[in-house]
Amino acid sequence: MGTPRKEFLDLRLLVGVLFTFYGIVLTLYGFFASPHTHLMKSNIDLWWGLVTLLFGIVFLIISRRPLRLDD
Amino acid sequence: MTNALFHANAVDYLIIIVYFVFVIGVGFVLRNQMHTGEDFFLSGRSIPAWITGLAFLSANLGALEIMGMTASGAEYGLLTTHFYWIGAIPAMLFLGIYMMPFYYVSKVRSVPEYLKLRFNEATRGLNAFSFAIMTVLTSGISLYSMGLIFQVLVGWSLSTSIFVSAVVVLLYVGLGGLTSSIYNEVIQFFLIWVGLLPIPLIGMSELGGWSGMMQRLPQGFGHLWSNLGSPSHNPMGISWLGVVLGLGFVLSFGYWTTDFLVVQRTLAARNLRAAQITPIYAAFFKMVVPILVIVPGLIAAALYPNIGHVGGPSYNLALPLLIAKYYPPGMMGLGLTAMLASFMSGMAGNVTAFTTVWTYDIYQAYLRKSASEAHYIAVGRWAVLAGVIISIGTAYFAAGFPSVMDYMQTLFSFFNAPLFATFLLGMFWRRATPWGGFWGLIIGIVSAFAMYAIIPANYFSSPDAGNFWRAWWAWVITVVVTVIVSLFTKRKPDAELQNVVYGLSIRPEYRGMPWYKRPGYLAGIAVVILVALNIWLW
Repeated sequence: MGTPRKEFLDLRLLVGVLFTFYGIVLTLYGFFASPHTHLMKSNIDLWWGLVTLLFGIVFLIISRRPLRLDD
Repeated sequence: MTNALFHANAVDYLIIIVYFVFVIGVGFVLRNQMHTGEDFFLSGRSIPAWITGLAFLSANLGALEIMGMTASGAEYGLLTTHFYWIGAIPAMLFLGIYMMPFYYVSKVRSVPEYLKLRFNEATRGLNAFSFAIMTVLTSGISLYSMGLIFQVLVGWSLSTSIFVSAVVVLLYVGLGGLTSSIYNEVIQFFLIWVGLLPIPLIGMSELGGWSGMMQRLPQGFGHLWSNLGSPSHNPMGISWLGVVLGLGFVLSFGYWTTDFLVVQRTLAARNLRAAQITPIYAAFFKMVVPILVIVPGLIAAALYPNIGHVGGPSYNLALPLLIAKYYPPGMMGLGLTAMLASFMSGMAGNVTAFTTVWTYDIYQAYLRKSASEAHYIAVGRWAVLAGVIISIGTAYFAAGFPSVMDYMQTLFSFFNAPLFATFLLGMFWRRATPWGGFWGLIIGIVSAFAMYAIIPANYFSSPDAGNFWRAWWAWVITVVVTVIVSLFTKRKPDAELQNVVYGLSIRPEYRGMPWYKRPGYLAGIAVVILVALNIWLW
């Protein structure tokens, strides 16, 4: 098909932005408020917030690469 | 308010609100790119395969699916996985390898339009109207269910959650059309993983891993096939033959290969190879979804032995119970957002498919044949509004019938099973005539209804078994009627069937490409993994 006819809004960037934001919110909340459910001893917000942050940053990095148009 | 299962915190609301703002913002940005009807209804056929692949899967992965399959996992154990593996993967691969060339190369914009090219206007009209009606009904039912879920979870009133979700869907689909819908489906796919994956992880570690969990579950919960020798040996009441013919063949192929809701995503791909790879990528993603829905069901069954029994919680609460048990504020916001997102993308999928079929196959076909692109986009936007309003109406309609959801799923299979027979003959048998297709389809649908009305419910060992066998016989009847009528009516000349039927189309040729770009090789890998999984959990 060649080049796309119009600028392609990069979904990778959108995913990266959203999850980086969620990662930051969860990590900060987990770090400062350290919430617990009465059953869980570990701080899920903190460690899963870091996982989410990592996921978002990976997408941000990928979105810096040029789009491969043949795929 | 006080009897809600969760008590959402400020941070939870922040996470939910950011999601809404984000989704609507994407709709506004995409609005400026919608110039032609193809842009609005088919995303200008320009989307990369990994995105359409995720959207293909997510359009089906609505909240109903997530809640329902977790509930089913808690009730029947690993047997539920059949809906994900044999009941989906072969059909998705078949769509990619064998059917996509016809859909994509013939340049149709919808499933009914293909029926017009292959058969005639009557067949198209029949399918367009039945699809439009079924779609708004289903989207109303998911709207209602989601309202119900949020009522139980956070104590919003039914009307509040129905209204808020409907307005958000209206905004982003109305603004950005199919692209908006597809983008949100992909974001939702990641949200579901990020929002719900901690549940199986925490649950499994609490229960002592896979074997620890199995020890606390009823016998047979951990097997796919070994209890299917006879319907009386398993809780689902099905036999292996019913699973293979009814679910694996007719129901699954009927849904995944002819339902415009999912097929529309492949048509948005940027070229034929991307369109073929779309359902094949989706098959890989589909295979891992049971980790998110069925494993939590098993965990819930192990943790709450009285679930689904008198005095215990309902199966439908399997997932919410686990969220409430494991998630502190913060994570809970993310979990709720994941469910909201999955509900909204399921509904948006219905609305976009409805809009396209309405605009191209009903409005343009019967009401106003030639008008400007801008006119059809405007009609499409009004159809989004109408679709959402009708859905709200059917949501309240559904609220009046507690068991209407089961009936709807049954009804849905009535339309898809005969349609699959019509497609199979249409695509691979040149001799099938226009009126053969029409009469086969309509008699197949009518006979499915008739079987449902006449055969008493207790004739089948379970509702699932009933669905499987009715679908199978509706399919057989459609094939037989189509063949008989075709032998006595006039066929279309070959010139009109170019690129529409097997033998008169160009086979795509990918020789010389690396293996990971060739649909056939990728599908082969998926089959090997599918077989391995089934043997592993036999």
